Amino acid sequence: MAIEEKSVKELQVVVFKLENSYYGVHILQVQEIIKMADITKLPNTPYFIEGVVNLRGKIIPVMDLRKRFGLSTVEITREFKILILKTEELEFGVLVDDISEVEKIPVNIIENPPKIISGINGEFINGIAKTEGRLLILLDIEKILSVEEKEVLKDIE
Amino acid sequence: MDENFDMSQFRGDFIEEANEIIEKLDKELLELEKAPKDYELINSIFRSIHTLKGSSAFLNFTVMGELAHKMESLLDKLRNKEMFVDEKIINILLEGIDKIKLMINDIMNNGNGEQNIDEVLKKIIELTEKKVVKENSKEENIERSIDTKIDKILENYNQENIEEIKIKNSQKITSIEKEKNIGEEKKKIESHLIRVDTRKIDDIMNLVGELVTGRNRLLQIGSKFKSEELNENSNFISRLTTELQGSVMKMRMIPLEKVFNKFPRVVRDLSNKLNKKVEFEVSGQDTELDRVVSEEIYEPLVHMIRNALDHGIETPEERMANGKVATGLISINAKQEDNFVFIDIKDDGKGINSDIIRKKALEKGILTQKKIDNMGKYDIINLIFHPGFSTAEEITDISGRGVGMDVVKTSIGKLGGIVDVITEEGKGTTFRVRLPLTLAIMPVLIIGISDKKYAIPLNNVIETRRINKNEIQTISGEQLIFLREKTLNIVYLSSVFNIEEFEREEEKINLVIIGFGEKRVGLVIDEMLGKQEIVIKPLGKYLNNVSGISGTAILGDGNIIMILDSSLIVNKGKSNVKMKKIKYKNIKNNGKD
Repeated sequence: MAIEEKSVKELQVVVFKLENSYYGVHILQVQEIIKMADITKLPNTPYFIEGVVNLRGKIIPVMDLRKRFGLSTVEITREFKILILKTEELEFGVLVDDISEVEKIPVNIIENPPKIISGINGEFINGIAKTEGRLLILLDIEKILSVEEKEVLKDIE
Repeated sequence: MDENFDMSQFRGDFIEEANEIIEKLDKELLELEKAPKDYELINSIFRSIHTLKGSSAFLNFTVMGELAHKMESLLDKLRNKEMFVDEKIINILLEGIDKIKLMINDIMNNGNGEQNIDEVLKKIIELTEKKVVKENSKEENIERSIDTKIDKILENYNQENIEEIKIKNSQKITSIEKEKNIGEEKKKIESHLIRVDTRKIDDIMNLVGELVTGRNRLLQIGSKFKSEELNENSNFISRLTTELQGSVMKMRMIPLEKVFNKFPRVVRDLSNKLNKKVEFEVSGQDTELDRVVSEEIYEPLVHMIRNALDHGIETPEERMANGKVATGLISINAKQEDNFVFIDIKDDGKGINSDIIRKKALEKGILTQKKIDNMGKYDIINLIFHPGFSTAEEITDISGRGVGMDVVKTSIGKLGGIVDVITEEGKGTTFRVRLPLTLAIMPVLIIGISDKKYAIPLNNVIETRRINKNEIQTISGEQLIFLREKTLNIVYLSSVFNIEEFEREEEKINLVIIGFGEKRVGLVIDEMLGKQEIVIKPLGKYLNNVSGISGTAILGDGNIIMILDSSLIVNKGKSNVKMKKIKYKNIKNNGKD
């Protein structure tokens, strides 16, 4: 990998807060951010699926990232935000404490993820970036919907 | 690259066109088998193959082009009466079509349609190269000369004089006239048609759905402000929305013909394999059905047709021995009544023997002797829909692959339909499928259980009743009541879902009696919130197949409501539905709590 001196490639990420850590998702994977909406609970779904919301007539599943990452759970309040993410196949929402900003991160400061960081498993992480005074965990949203689990979800009978 | 983009566009068009042609060819070849002297048909088949040859060559699908070319040569011989249609030729042409199907599938998966066609080509060439055997009887030769004469005469006369030509072979003339008329009619119809990507229609449908929600809000606001002008306007919008919804619904409807066209081929191939003789009749194929429903219904129908052939229709010897005609009859008929489409699959075979079913059910341990002894004949027959039930004496590759009638029933249930069986021993069996006209809009009953609302498809609601608590009896762990001399199982939603229900203090209990096929159960509810037409929203890819929920809908206030899957609730009252435990990787919690 030859990094050209003149133009350091940058990655634009949407930064959000969960617990006391900062996470980043690639901006192209973020569809929109909505205020906390009424979440309809569904039976017979994985424990980390909070339910579904009505997004302008579309039914979007919402995931509690705390449960997904195995962090301690908290009461979900109106203060939360829902980050609507999209992959090639589907749209889904994740509950986050707060959205802070869109940040440009030079590609060359991104490091490989450790096995475990801030209590979450490295398998959900693409990399970490240490910027001024804080650590940013870059998430791999495909992994959050990991293949194995996608299959499992398909055949919950 | 521009070029690439264009090519992919062409590919898409090609696949669509090729699929249409293949479907048509399948149908026409089977017709030709029955009417080998129909030269109009031969011409039409020739033209279709010719089109395939052209378009596949254009897109460099050389293998397909080559095969089509050879098939065309064979058809050319038939067209010019150098050869005559027989079973062998039909078989080889069908074989060619099957290869082309495989090629199209490959192209759909971004391949270039490579298939090994040496075998087929060899056969076609052998047939084509064969010198015309002197088998054509004198009759055919005479016919041929008459035909050519007629052709000549017709060329020389104009339309008016044709009627005056007195020739015995008048069929020829009428068919020419027919073709002329049909051709004109076709042109008229086709000029009104355009192709639209179904996804575009689905988008419109979604927008209309949102419009409905918006309209409902507008009406709410209107009643709040009590403004004459506003109300007038919102009523106007409301009417328009309803009409728009209707128009879009109609757009999504397609005739069942597309589905039914595939069946004659299935029947032909399978009856040959089983050495059974069978006539296959199709009717009502112009009945229209929502596109999604008609796509999903193909598999279950094919399964039932295969079953009818495999288990229903007897061998010719067996039929003769029982005083029947050697050739069996299978028919499929569709008709629309109210908001439903009924499809009947009927055979005149041996019917279903309830004693055999009873024996099998015991052997397989589906039911206990005690239970079976208390069952009527009809209930026993209905055990064929039980999971894991297959009466095929040996496992054939036709039916009995573990894909039984239970899968048929479930798939039909998923479409909001039901399937019933009527059988008479020695006379035959009819499977009757009832489907909703459309999946997108459904009348439902909204119910309240504890503090939540749910919707039940109105098709599955038999009745609602209030009963006294003391009417409920517990027999071998199951709660039931006696209703009109019959027992009815009582089901609680908390036994279907992992939810909590509040204690019910009152003496009276509300029941919704839900029916699915022949089964009936009483679901305990707290309140009845009325009927409503709802626009169904799928749960999407990530959560598809949530057990017990057949879909969701958005109510006028923007809230989401779940549509309960009646089949699961009904089965819950009878047996235990397995819930899969899902394993997740244990993710260490960092000690923070």
